[in-house]
Amino acid sequence: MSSARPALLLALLCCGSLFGWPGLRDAEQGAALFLLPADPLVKACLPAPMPAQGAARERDLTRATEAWDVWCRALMAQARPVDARYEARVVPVLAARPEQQELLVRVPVGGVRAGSPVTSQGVLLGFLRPWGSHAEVVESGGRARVALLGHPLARPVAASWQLAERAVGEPVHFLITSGPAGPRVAHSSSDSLPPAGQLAWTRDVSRLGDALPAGFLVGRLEVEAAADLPGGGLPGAGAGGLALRLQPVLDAYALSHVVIESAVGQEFALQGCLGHVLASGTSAQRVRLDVGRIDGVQGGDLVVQDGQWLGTIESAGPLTSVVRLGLPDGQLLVVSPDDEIVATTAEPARWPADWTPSPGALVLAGHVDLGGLLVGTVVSADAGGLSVLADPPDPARPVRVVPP
Amino acid sequence: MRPALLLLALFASQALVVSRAWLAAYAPDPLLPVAAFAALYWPRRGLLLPVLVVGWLRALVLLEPAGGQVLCVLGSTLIVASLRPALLSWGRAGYVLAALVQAGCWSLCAAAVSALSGQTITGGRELVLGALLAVPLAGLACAAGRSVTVRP
Repeated sequence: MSSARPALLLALLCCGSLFGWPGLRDAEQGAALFLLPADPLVKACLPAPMPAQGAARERDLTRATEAWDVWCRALMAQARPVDARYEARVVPVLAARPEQQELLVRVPVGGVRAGSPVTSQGVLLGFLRPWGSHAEVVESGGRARVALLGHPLARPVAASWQLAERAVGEPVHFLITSGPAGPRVAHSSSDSLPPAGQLAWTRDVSRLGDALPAGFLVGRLEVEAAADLPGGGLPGAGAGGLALRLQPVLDAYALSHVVIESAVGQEFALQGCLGHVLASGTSAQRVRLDVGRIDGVQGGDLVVQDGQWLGTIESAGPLTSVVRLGLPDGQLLVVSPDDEIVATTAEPARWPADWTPSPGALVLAGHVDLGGLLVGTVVSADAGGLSVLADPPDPARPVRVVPP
Repeated sequence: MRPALLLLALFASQALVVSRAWLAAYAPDPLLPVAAFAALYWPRRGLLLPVLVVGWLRALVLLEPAGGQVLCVLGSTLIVASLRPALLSWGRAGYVLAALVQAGCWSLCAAAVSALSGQTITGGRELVLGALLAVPLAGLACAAGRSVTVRP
């Protein structure tokens, strides 16, 4: 009985490792320390890596950089801070929190204000909100929270809609406030109802002291029948028992990057470290790096090599870490041979309607510090998924590990 | 013998890296003869140590969760160890048979653990090819095994 106990304990720990007990996978990597001394010898015994195709690869890297710049400019459409001390800036979304109607974004420390608008492609998504109960907008790690439109802490937004054929007439003004089920349309200047799917934009109310620029898209107006009120009364919004709902035009929770206003010249402090791929690990899907937690590496960090995307850190031990090679989890840019750029993900369910990546198209990921990163070229794409051919990491050249 | 076997496991794990780099899918796993030797000759009370070392090293080299490989080595080693009296009576052939049984059990365990956990746990061909390494190593293994105390 007593001899069975250690075996049971070991089996239990094994199950913990398999099913991802917090910290156990990272702890496992601690033993990689014993493999480090033999690494140079093993490296010398391995076949020489295939050289990357020089000119073609350089051309692809250049296209990746250019496509990322084009994409960033598209994201920043309409974003023009009123205050000249601020500029529009693309920042990464670290996490989406649908339950709290919030996004978590990485911003330059000290360069942003609470209440400044957060946009994407000319669409107003929400506003930066204070971090917790403090006055600071940014927590020490450079993270900030975005209260999406309709969030209880999101400020009211003056908006309007106007029929295209009635462009000479008066637009209908209204206020977007917070409601139990997201943004609420209130204080409409007219009882007129818009056609289904009518777009609405922010309007200029700078005379009232509101510096929010006009022209940001805020959503689509949908008319819906409101429930009868007790006693036979009619709800306040709309007319004839009809209510207006504001539907988002972008799924904010699916975005990988958004645009904020930050102080001019305020840069992200480029974090991360340099490392090398170790030879003492062999897998088609993963590689081990010679940098770990003591170098600041954390799970989820991105790994790149000379403009090429390699993967994300899966587990980080004290001295080494494991990189999962492959496509990024979030948004990808697919650049077709005729330079059309489509933002999508690797999941076919989220591809635009009637669109499939064409074989030979470039697949890119973007990073605000490093720019466009080449993931690879499309080999095939169908309902089963996206198959991408990527260059393997070169053990002779350093890799950079950076936070997302 | 014990430190020597653990060092041998470390060497075998790096030999697996090199053999995979050159032979790809047809690379024999040198850790398997080490595990078979431990199953036959390592004192039963301390069998968990070589199980842990071999499984963990294989997981580190293949960049897989250590728990999966350790479970597979544990299961296959316990089965071979339970057959120890019969296998030892067959001499060199017993060692080769032990390696083959170990490879089969290890592969079955890997498939089962992989299916249950959804993680990639490598087994199969490499282990069977690794068991074939036991043929040239049988004489050496039996000689080394005779020099240590065995408690069947």
